[in-house]
Amino acid sequence: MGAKGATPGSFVLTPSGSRDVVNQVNGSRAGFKGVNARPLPQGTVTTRPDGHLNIAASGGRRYEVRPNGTLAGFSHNGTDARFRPDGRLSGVHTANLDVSRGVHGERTVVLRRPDNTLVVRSGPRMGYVQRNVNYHGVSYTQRTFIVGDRVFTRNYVGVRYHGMFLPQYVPAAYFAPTFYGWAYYPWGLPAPYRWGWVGAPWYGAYGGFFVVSPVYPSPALWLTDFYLGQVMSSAYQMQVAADASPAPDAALDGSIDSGQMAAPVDTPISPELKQAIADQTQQQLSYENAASQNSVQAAELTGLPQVMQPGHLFVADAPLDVATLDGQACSLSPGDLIALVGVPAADAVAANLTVSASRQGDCPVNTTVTLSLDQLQEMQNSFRANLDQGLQTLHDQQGQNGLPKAPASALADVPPPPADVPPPPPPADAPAMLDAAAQQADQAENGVTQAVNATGDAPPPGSR
Amino acid sequence: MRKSAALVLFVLILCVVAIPQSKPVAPPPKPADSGPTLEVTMRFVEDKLNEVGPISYSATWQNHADNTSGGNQFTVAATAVEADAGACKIAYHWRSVRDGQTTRDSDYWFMLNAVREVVVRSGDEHLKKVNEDAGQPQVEAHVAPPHWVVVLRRGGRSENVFVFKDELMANRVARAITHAVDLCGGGKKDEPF
Repeated sequence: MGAKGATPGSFVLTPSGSRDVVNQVNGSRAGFKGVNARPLPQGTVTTRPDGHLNIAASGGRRYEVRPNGTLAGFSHNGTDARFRPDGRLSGVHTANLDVSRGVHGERTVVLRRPDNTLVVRSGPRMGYVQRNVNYHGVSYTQRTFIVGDRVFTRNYVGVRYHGMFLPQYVPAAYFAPTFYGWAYYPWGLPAPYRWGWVGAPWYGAYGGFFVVSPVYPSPALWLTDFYLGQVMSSAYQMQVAADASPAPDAALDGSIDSGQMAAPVDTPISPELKQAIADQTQQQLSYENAASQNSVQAAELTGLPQVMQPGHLFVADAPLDVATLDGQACSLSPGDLIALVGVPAADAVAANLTVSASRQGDCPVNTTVTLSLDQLQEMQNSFRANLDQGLQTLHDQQGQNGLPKAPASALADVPPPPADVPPPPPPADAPAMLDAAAQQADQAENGVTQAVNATGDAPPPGSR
Repeated sequence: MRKSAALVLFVLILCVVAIPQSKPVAPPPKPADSGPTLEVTMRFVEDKLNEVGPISYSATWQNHADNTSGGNQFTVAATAVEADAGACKIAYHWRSVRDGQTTRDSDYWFMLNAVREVVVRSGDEHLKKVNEDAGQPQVEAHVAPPHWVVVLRRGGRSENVFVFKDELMANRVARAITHAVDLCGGGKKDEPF
């Protein structure tokens, strides 16, 4: 009937066995919609120990089918595509392009250009261009961010952790130690503060998931709301962009079990969780201040290991598909909170975290999920960059809008650095690079949709 | 104001750094307070409190437990306020009248270093707190016209209050008193037991 496959536990069926299985699966797909309604082509079937089937069809097309008959993956001509059980594309991958769609439809495009420039696009005029540049004769990583009409750069240095080199955020500048001190200690009187974006559509869209405080007894709590607000407003823009350009052939099939864990309702960010983030913010201010005065150990003082303590909260800043400890899939969205379960082993490249707050459709709270250390590093980078931005806002607004006035000693000028060479300017064509990445992503997604929808046993156009 | 981190960046770039476990660090330094002197602050507090004068308002209440309701007319005034910077002390005369009957007419004083917390509440919020503290959370009360109450909490349940017609002024005086409390060594303290 068949032979053992290359993967342990897999089994390659004979042509007749394959035909029977494909016919049987197609029969079970009669009521499905969208991409799952198309009959699967005949081909060599390999059964897998996890219940999935692989079908090697004509023209080099390969299909991966879940036990319930829905399409999990498709590959052809060097393009790999992944599908959610309801038929939506979740990702398209080629040698130089990764397109990921979050559970709420947000699309992230990562394009690796021949010149080693990395283009990451998360929406129209939203994303960054990463390249290695030389500064003071040394190579480092520069990301040029485009957010609407704003263009700004952030710098990163490679830091070794658990055998990997992780890109660690480097502040463009430090503040005076006394300013970190002013931001560290509570204010004498709670400061009433009204955020300018409280009436914005994104804030309303989050409903009760994220609610700002009417008054702030400490800068750390103010910085916490600043940080969460930044993350969620960016995420909202991504979602608006996703709604405007849904995945091709996104004929959803609500009748199919999604096959992944999904929270039935929002579990909001509670005041206790916000306080925990504020405590971490306060601790980070200590690290930043220490780094500002110890350039040799700055990376060590502000690095990921400093925060890899059990219970430390990370804030998801991008859509992520993750796996639970028992092998199920679920998604995290920007603003979801996850708490580190324990310090990962010395040779581990991933860590377990428990979901503490999440939006409807995302991983349910108390689910333990696994994230790679570089994903945690990116979240920590986002936290530190937003902390810097929040500190700058505090610095600019102190004494106004209800914020207490900082003592003059906290605002004292820091001696200017010696004559310096300005850092390399951001690439002028960065916005065009984002547009080009979007076009390539569109082509890749449409190509996949066209290829996977090519019915029958005839290979799709271009495969001969 | 911001120090260019070019130097820091330069050194950071030299690494690709091998990072060990987390390192404890000390908190950043608390900035020296460069606000107004205690004398200036106390003079401000004294002047502004003396400018307030009598405040009249009506308070209506409803007891949700027995479905009763009612109202009272109040007039309150803090007068002859003296803010003594040398002694870190504020003294004043307080008179309150309810429905034409004088309920308090006495001299009061408190030491600033005994003040643990300064809170600004609306008149409604203040009455809600008063009712809750009195074990009557079922009583809902509203005042008209609106006013604001600066509450100075001392140890235990001791507190002094000043009433303002103007929210902005209430907050300014509260900040000034908070500053004075800091300068006099008051403020929140860890409970010893």
